[in-house]
Amino acid sequence: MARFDTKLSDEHKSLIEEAAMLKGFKTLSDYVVSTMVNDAVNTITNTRELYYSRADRSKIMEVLSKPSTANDKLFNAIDLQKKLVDSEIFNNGIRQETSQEE
Amino acid sequence: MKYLTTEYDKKLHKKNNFLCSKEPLTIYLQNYAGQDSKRNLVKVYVITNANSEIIGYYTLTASSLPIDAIPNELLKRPPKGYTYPCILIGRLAIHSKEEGKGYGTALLADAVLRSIEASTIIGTAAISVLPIDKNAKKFYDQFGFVELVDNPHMIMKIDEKLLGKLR
Repeated sequence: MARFDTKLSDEHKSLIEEAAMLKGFKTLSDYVVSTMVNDAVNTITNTRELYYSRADRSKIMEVLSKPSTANDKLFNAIDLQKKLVDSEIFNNGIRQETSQEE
Repeated sequence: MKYLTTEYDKKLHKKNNFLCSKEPLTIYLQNYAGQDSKRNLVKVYVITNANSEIIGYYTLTASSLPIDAIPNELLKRPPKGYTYPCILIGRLAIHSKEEGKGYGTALLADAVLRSIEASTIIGTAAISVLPIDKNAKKFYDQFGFVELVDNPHMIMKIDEKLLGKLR
C-alpha cells in the first residue's frame, strides 16, 4: 500500500466531500482515488495512440530502412481480393446472393 | 484498380443490423462513421449483402509518423515540424454472422490496395493499423505488420514490392 498526501483549500475539500457523498463513497479518499484512476486510464489510452516513445521511434526507423515486411500471406490476401472482384461475387461492394446461399 | 468495397453512403447502405463481435466496432459504425466521413475525417468503405445491409467495413485516414524516426538515407535534411506521411487503417470489422469466410482478409487486402494506390498520388511511406485487441494484433502480424514498442499502432513500409501489386 502506498500513501499520497496533499494540501487543498477548505472550499475544495468540502466541495469534494459533498460530491463523494452524493456518489455514495464512504470516504473522501475512496472518491478521489476512484476518480483519479478512471481519469488516468482514459488519459493514458487516449494519449498513447498519439505518443511515440524513443523505443517506438527507433523501431519505426528500423522498419523504414529495410525492405517492406509485406509477406506472401499478404500477397495471397491480395490475390483473394482480386479473385472476389473478378468473380463478381461482390459487385460495387454488394454481394450477389444468387451463387451463394447460407 | 478495382475494389471489393464501395464508399459508405447512409442513403444506400443499411447499418442498423450490423453487429461485430468487437462492440466498439459496432458502436463506431452505428454512431460515428456517418458523421466522421461527412466531416472528411475518415473514409469508410463497406461491403453489403444483396439487401444493402453492411456486412463489413474499414476506415482509411491520412496519418503520420514522427519525423525524427526517419532513417538518414531516406531523408537527408529533415524539414522542421514535418511529420512522415502514412495511411491509417483505423478500423476493420466483419459482421459476426459473416466471420470465417475470409472477408476480413479480403477487406484488409482491399484497404492495403487503396492505400498503395493513394501513395502513387500523395507521398506516403507506410501503412499503419490500430489493432483493437490481442487477436487483432495477431491478425495483422501474420500479414507482416510490425508491432511497435509502446505505441499501439502497427506499421508496414510501402515499397516497390507492394506497388507491384497494383494492376
